[in-house]
Amino acid sequence: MAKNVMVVDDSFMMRTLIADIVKADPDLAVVGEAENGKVALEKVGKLAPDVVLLDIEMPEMNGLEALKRLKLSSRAKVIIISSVAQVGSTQAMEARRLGAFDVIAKPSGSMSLDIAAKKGSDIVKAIRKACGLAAQ
Amino acid sequence: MSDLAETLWREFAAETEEHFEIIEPLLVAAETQTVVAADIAQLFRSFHSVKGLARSMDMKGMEEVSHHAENVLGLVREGTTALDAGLIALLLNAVDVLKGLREAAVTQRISAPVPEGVIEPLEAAFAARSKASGPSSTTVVTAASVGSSSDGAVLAPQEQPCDVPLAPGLDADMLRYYAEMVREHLPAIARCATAELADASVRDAAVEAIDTLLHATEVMEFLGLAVSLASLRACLGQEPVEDTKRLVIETLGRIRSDFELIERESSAEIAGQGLADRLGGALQAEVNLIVESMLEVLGRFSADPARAIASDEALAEELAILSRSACTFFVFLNLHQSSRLLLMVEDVFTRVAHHEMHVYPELLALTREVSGLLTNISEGMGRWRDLEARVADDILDRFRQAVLVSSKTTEGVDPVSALKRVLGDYDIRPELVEILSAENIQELVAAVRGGRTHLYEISAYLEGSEQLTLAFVNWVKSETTAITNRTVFIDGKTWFEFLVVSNLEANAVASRIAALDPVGECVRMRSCQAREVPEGAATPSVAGGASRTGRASGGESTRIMGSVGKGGNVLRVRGETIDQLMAQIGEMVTISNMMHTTARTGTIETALNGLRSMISKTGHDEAVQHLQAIEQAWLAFLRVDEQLGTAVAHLQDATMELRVVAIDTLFNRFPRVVRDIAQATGKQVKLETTGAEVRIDKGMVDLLLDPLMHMVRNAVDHGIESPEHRRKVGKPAIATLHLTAVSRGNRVEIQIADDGGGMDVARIRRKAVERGLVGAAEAERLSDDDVINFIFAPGFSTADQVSETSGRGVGMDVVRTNVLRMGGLISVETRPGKGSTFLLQLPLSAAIQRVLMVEAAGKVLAIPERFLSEIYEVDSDTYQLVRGRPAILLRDKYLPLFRLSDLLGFTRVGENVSPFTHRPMVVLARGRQRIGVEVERLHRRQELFVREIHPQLAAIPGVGGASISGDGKVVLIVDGDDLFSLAENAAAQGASVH
Repeated sequence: MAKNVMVVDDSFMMRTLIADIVKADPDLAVVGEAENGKVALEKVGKLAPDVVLLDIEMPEMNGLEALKRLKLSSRAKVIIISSVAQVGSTQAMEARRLGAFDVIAKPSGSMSLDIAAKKGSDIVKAIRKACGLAAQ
Repeated sequence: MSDLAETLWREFAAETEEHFEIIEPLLVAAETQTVVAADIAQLFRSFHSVKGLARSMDMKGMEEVSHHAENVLGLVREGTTALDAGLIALLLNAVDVLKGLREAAVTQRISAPVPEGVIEPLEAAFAARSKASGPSSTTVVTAASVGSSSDGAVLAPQEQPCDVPLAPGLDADMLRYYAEMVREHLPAIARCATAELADASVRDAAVEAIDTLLHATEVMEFLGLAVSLASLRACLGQEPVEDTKRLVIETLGRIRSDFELIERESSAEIAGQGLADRLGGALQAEVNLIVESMLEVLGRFSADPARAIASDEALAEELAILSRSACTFFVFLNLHQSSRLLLMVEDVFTRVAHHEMHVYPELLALTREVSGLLTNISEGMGRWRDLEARVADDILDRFRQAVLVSSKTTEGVDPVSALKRVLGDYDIRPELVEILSAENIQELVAAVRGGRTHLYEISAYLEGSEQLTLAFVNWVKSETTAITNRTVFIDGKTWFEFLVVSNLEANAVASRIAALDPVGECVRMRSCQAREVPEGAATPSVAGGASRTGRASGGESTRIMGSVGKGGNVLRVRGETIDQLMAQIGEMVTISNMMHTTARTGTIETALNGLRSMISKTGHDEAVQHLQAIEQAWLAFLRVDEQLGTAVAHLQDATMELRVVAIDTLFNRFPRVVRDIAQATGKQVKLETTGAEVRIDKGMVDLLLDPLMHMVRNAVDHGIESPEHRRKVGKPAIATLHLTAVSRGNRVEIQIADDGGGMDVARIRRKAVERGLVGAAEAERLSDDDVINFIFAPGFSTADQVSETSGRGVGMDVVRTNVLRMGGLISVETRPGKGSTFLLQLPLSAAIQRVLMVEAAGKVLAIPERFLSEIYEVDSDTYQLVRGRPAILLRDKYLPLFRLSDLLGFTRVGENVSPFTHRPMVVLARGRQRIGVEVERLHRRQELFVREIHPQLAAIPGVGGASISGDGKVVLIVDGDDLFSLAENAAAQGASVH
């Protein structure tokens, strides 16, 4: 059975782009999307995803706040995909400290139209690892 | 050259003022409210911009003061210190000084010396606070400081206020009970992290404790925590193997961050220093082992970067995992600075494993240095000493520098110096600079070198329309190179801010954007063009696109500027330019009206009809054809006339829009004033403003500032009682001052309401008599409402002492005069013990007035609609003489009647005119006064563009302005106030005016 992934990003375009990356792997399915941390928390209980792909900069509730709550109350592994999570950034380190399974930087800012080309395989690799699936 | 200098000074004056208008309300608000990171960033940016502007005009003093203010705010921004009351006072003081220096700069073009007592305190604050604590990157520290801050005004950056509870729907008591349970059972589990792990009875006790906790954890629905606990139980349920102890500690370390969150939420301490002390000794060997392994892995990295890149993915991953293990140990031991370093190592080497960057000798050396430091923090006997925050910060900084250099795309360009060079050449906002990755910088440098020398910040709201999104993205891709972008939230909407390079000039980019987004609501741009200095003249730092190559020397009055306010990019146009435009459009309206009048008087139709009947008699074919051609052309002309009328009306509305601004530009000035007076007078006042979005003519803002300022000062100084007094009479100690703006069609109402003691009517009555404004007997007869109106009399003041803030006796009369001058009305209501309310009713704009056109003595006159109460036709039976003056009974009150031509002196006294019958009568109102004014004929209501009036016309009593009507005639605009005065004079020996 395919592993379930939830995509949390405030940009509709980014959600679509990231969901497309996930869907391209037959072992993975997108069970839901959310536009901010608050909505993600509401949905995560019902959808019970295996992995949550979480942006950091979002309105209402940002990714790091959501991560704290997800870590405590959900079985899902959380992978941060964010433009502010550049190598060595405060946010990246904080996400790791809070127990993010992995942290991936969007290639060029929060609207990364080239994310599939530049980070697609990294994202899929991280999700597969979080789900205990063998690397492709 | 001097034109250019003038332009620059004007820009300097306008922009610095804008920044002060942003800074002051934010600082004042910070005294009482929670400040979010965005506000801090805004404050920092504004001081930074002031500094830049000052530097560009060589105003050394301003530059120095804003520099120090910016420094201190930098500490706040990075979370090192709090924006507390002390700091706010320092910064407000700095703003005052900056304003003074700006005044000298703008008026005298000199850099005045900086007064004593500004820079030193800022420097001292910077020195004291930068040492105070570690930076915010350890959220453990930040979280604690947020939670315990008594100043209330603190919020660390990155920490966005979040009202969602950690465990929604959970009872606080339950959470506390759970936390107590964890505290009770944790030690039994923790013993397995020590040498006691070998003891089976210790493991059994731990398993039992985990089972109890696991059940409670599932009840609490902490599912993530339950997973960790379950894996720990599985681990301890078996005979320990070599790795078991490490796994136990790792799991405990992981659980620890969850506990930390529960602690915060339940305000219970679960696993503090006590637990760390107990385990400290047992962990020593483990830590040493891991650090040794790290050094060993580091040794296996190839010294040759080229080979390291190709082959060392597995090594990087191993190093990342080791760091993660060590980090969980340190978190568990409360060694936060050390754990920060390990988080960095983990982050860096995970990215290396992800192929995001190369392994560079510098990174390896830094990691080696970290390993060395970590072997030294153990003091033996289970005692540890964490690294100093300073040491950790230093290493983290060096890591970040090294990361920039390690960019994959490095091709002989040093990104650090390249970044510095680019930043020097362009004016990129710091928020965008911060998110530039090494790769971004490479792209930026390459693009600039490749001739795409124009740099823009473009904000776009792309979630509204898919069509716009696609068009926008296509345009960005085709004509620019997007370096990076970030998300910003404006009014709950997600905007993208792109940093792009392009070879298009600013005006070309602006026109592309206009084509993409004709409404202008979804895409905005700002040029980051270089601060190029033509002929040694200084230019403002927020330079516009067109001023780049020295072409700015012409009458450059508009440009696109940086977003200093909330509204993003702003096109700044000089007020005079708009006024000229308004005047031109006024001309156009006039001409269009004249054309319309010509078209509709019927002269041409009559002539055509005459022609038609003549020609039909003669039966001249050719003449019939000509006539038909003329008739058709005439119909076409009539259609054009209609269309022109509509188009001109739209143009007029749109131009009006140029003049209106949100009233908060006015309201924003008051928090500071209220705060200062309240402090000076020992009062406690909360200022509440509503309707800040109401829009009003910019000219009105300037006219309103002084009157409002005066009323606000009065309210705080005289209206509001001392906190002690308020408590005594059972009011909240903190008084409330409401500033409200409401838009009512083409009028705006502004209300200033305090909940103070109200006005002392008896005292006003007494003072009025003392000043001879009214006789003692008359004063007694007057109603309270009438008495209160004496406060608007010239020179009237009830204040016994002249204070610094008010009571000089030049007050409400000036206020009233100013308000009337702009076509407004002012009234006041007061209730003893409850407070006073001033109501200002104002036209949206002083330039365009709605009027009723009337005719008197053969002249067309315009009566401003704001004086109009109703229109009436007087019958001979209702009209009567009251004390020798004509009047009618209107709703049980005698309404004195006047003839407009009499009041304006168009008819000679005694001239025989028909009595007041069957003539239209206009009822005018001013406050509660009413008069009836008879006119000869009523025309329509319309909007008139008020022109500057010729002095000779202005001298006519009762005339307030002039305009040109549709048929090109001069229309005099009646001044309602004057009319009331004239009526009062006329009625002097007759009935009083009601």
